[in-house]
Amino acid sequence: MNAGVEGRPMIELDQVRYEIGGRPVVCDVSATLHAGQFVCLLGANGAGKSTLVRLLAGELSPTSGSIEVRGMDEGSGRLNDVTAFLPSDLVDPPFLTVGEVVELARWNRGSSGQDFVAESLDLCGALPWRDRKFGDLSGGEKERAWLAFALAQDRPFLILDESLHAIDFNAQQSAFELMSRVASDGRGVLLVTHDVHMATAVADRLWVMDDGRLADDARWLHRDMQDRAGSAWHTI
Amino acid sequence: MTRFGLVLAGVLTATFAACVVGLAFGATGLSSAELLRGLVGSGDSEVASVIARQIRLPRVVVAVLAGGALGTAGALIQSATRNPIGDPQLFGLGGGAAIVQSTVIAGWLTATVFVTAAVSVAASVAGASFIAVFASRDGVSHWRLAIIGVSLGALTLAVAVGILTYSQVFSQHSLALVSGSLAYPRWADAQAIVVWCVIGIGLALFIAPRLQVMVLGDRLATHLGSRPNLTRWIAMLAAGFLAGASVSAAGVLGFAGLIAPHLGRLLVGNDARRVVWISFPLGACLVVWADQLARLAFAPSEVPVGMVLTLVGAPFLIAIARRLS
Repeated sequence: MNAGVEGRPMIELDQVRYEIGGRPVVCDVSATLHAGQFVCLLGANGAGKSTLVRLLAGELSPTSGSIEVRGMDEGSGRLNDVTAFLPSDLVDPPFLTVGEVVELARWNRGSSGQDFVAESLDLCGALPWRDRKFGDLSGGEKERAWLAFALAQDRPFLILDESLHAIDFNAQQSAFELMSRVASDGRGVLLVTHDVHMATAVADRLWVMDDGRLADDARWLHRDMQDRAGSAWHTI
Repeated sequence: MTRFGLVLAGVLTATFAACVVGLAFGATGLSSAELLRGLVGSGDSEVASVIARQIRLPRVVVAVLAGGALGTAGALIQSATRNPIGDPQLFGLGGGAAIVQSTVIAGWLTATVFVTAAVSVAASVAGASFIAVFASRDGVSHWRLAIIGVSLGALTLAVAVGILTYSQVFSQHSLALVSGSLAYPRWADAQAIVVWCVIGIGLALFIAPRLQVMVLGDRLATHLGSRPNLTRWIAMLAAGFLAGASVSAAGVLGFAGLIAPHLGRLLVGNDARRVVWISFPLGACLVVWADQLARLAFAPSEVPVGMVLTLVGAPFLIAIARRLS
């Protein structure tokens, strides 16, 4: 856990609002995502979490407000260029093996060599499946392979929308710890999850979303979970 | 030589062998010398020249073009729609062209073979656009897209058969159209479709490098910097050109477009570019050999080449369907 190790600001949200048909789905959110920090985004279904991550990944543009990328040395500073994004509705890539899917993470960057594929798969414990057809994996194995795909993109910020819900407890714990290590190494991580226990235990910061807003407290969380979070607990 | 080079050399050799069989054997026996003299037009025998140059050679050329076009169209559809059962006939692309050809056979449309080929291609492109619209929508599964395609194919074929029946045209040409046959193509048919094949192949080669990332789905592909909708439309447009050209000259040849890309993946790996490249020679090889079976297995009778392809393709489709979740 990187409690208190807050790197430079990477993505700043300023009064971000997103409306669908005049109805606000994300309401005036202001917050900052930092390098080296593992943030878990919690909230009930329909609270606006997925819309917020789509805004952060550059899939949607805010109705009002702004999302700025800070301090990037290279690239255009577009959200697409600084984020690796795993949406919640991932589809099985037909035809390809796990290794071939992970290789696509850098398909348009002229990256040669296969080292990054093996490294990413190894980090996620998915290296043994490298030559298996992606569609033949179990649900949990697929999630770990997708995680390797996200890491292989080698972007400074990872955004994972409910990407770790199908894996078993041990694998999930490993995945959360892996994300924490990734953050320790300097990348930023935002994970949407419903696993309050794991989020509280491992994340550096919790964001709680309620009715389109980032809540300024977390009263709906059980008290003992907050206690367990100890010094790592931050509200925004 | 790379693996791709070896496979390409092997497939081209097999296709060439099938072409030689197609030229050398048939209802009328020709010696090797007669065949060669007939092909180069230097012999005294008018009969050998007509058989070799006006009947067998155009048949082989149309088989190569139609088979190659279907193979490439299948590779494009499978990658662009992420659908392992993508096939130009199964997805109804050739159905519009079949309607156009049925109006020609029925005598409703009288125009040169070049004009009817162009109209057939236009009708096939319309079918391809219909599929592209559905494939671009969120949440359309393999099966839903396949059902939409099969429905479009059945509907258009029913209209084509309806036109033939209403016009009381029950000629061999009618059977050749709906079941796929290479018994009737002449040089004009080959000349009429070659330009559409060249355009379709050109578009396919242009779009092939962008197809690989399409398998990730539109959201991830977009995030990685691709433009999946544009890529899909160009691929489907190319598939429409190729499917329309094939139906225009050889009728509705099923399954070649399904089998060729899958065989291609087995032989050269899953890279979408290589699969598109190898699917033309593979499709050509498949159709030319199937045509030799159709011509020679029951000689002196001949069965439609589409029937031979279906005998191979139907179990192939079932095998693929069993693997799909």
